Amino acid sequence: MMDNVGGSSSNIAENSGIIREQDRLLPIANVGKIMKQILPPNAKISKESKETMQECVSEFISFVTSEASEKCRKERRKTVNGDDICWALGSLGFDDYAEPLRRYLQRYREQELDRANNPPKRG
Amino acid sequence: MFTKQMISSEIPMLMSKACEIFIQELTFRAWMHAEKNNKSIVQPCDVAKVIMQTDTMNFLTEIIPNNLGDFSVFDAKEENIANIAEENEVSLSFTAGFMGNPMMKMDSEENAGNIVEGNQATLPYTSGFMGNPMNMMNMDNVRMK
Repeated sequence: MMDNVGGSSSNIAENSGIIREQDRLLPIANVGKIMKQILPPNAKISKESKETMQECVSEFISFVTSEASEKCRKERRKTVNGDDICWALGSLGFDDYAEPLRRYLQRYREQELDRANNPPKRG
Repeated sequence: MFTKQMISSEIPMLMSKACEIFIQELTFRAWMHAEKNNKSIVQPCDVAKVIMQTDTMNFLTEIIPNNLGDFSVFDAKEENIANIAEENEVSLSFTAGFMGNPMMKMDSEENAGNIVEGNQATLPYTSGFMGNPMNMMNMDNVRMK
């Protein structure tokens, strides 16, 4: 599939060691849809704004995961988990995010437990 | 020594949800900024303004200049808008109406008269805009650099 869904027009890596421009960012169509969900129907979003948002959200991911990763290193743990992410969000000023995400994480874990205890029946 | 780390399987799911919340917060604030300036299209300068005004978004200030080299143009424009806001009600509504509907100019000779009576600070911006409708497109071209 040669469709370019990233913000960049380049699809070809010069060598395997270089991260392709489009792979650095979340897909622009997905970002655009999430942006539209929060806005009233008459609002429009320029292409450039979606590209700006792609950059911002990738930076957000790096910012949060770096903080969580550093915490794990200090505690000499090898695996970064969901609690570390929630802690990092609070630590970086995103307190409003941390609490709903903790609840989301808890529900996710409960679902995982359910799945483990009740494996799907073979058809 | 940089040791290899792994991530739990719950992290992609959790970060996906965190990103959704982040995108929507930033978008909504940008929309409020655009709406305050009587625009119905969210532009990168609206996003940049939010980043500069919101403490938790400060980590993004380094990546914005690369996307918005022309940001200062919009700063200047906003100063003009502020000047207009200090003018009388008619000037403000006229300008807002014009920006929203380019055809309004053709049937608003009275409004044009009111604009001429405005102060010097308002007039150059408005007259420049009225004198050359292509200025709007020029602004767009500048923005896309």
